[in-house]
Amino acid sequence: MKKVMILSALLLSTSAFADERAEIMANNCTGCHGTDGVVEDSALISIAGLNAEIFIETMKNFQSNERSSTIMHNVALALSDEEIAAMAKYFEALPKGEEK
Amino acid sequence: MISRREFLSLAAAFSAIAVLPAGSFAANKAKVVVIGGGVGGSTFAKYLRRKAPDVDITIIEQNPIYIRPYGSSEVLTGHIDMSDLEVNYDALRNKYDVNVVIDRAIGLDANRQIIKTASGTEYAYDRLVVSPGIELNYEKVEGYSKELAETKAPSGWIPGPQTSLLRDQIQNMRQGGTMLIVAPPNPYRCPPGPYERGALVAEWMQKHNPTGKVIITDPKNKFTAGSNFLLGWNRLYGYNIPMEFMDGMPDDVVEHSTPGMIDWIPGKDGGTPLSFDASNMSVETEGGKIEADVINIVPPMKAGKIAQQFGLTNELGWCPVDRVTFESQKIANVHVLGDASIADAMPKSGFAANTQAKVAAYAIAHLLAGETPEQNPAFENTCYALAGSDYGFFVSAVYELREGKIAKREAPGLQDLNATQAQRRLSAVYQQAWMKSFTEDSFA
Repeated sequence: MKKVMILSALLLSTSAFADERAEIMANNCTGCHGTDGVVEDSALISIAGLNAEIFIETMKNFQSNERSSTIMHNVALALSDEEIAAMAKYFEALPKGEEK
Repeated sequence: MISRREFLSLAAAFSAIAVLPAGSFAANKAKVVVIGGGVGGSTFAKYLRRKAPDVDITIIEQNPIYIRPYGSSEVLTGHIDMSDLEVNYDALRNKYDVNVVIDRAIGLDANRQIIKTASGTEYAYDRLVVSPGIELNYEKVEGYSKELAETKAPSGWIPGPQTSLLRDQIQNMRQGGTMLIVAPPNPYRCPPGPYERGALVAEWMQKHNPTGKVIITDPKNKFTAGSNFLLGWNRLYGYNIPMEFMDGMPDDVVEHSTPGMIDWIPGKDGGTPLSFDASNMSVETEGGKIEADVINIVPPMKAGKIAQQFGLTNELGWCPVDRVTFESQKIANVHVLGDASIADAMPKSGFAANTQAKVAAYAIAHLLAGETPEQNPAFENTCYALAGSDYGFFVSAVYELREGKIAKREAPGLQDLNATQAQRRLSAVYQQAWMKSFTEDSFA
């Protein structure tokens, strides 16, 4: 329950962010996760259309190392909660690869 | 039977044909000219198109095919072929309606905002983007020259015939021979590059020339991801880690009783190169003369020649820019991206050029529309490197503006030295995937 409340708080806090800033932040992900969050035939995963709460939870788990990773631990630690929430919202709204 | 995707791309192609001639006569369209179709220039053009559908975008590039420098050391060991480095401009042309012209920019008229090319064409611009990469300063190493790099002691730092020559020299080296890599001073393109190259050649030697040896002589006392490299070399090639790098090393570090296949001579131990002697195939360093069968000199660098010619560089040979728009601090309405620009804490890497180009594309789209760009951009660099084909690690950092300069955010930037073997192997898998992804994000 507590976790859900934190996640909702994070999602709500995105309103302070201009949409373009979120997009500029998200563009830093797409070098690996593909333009508009879609990457094909790769060991790396697409993140377009990913549920925002799952996105945020995954990033938190990368930060804590609860989920093992290579670079994502470092990248997640370099981002603020607000930025992660803004990016989560941004990628959630993008169509998944097969829907394009 | 035509698939939906094929239909869409055909439709796009037809509409491009129909629209282009009309568009090129439309006098009121903003014009952006990009010099250099590498990662910086191509990413910029692609992302500007996404933001500014009506802008005329032209890339002037000398080579019809881009040969990517990142990952090109894998050619030396036969892991990939030269042709695997090739990237075409089809998507930029057909999908993003970018006019990719194979020509060479030779003149800038900054007052009239016109670029002249070798073919005699003139291109007017509202905004000019110069993304020329690097020029190798061969002559900065006494006794070395471009001619010697092309015939005797290749640098192979800009991929092409020197890369193939170096591959052939390594693969034809006598048993028990030595390859000497001369590492460059900072700043330079691809900071982990010389050390990854040495490691990949050592790995190749284990199989094909087990008594061979790689020596890296270096003017520097440390280098990017140094601890990860030294640990990898210790585990894979019998390298003994110097005491000053032992801090934080895992327990399995071995003290080898015999010399390893790879050696690194830092500046403080005499590694600074002084001169190259082509007739004796040797390099004189502060610590003495090193003879070798194959000599690979990575010379000091500066911004690509066109940036110098256009007066965009400072006294050190790099281009000072505004960190939000990448507009030159020397010439108005001209922007400089990638390796050639001064980006403070960001390294000169392809991935850095990719994220800078996106920020610049958004900023220039706003400027062309008479708007103010986002003043608080963020950048990232991610670079996977190898100490062996199954042994990878990485550098990663997020950057922001602080007092007008690009600064690294506080966070770990390297793979933990205690990473498990599985994580090392995973990083090697991701190294290949990352290279493919970010090439696609830049060009496709």
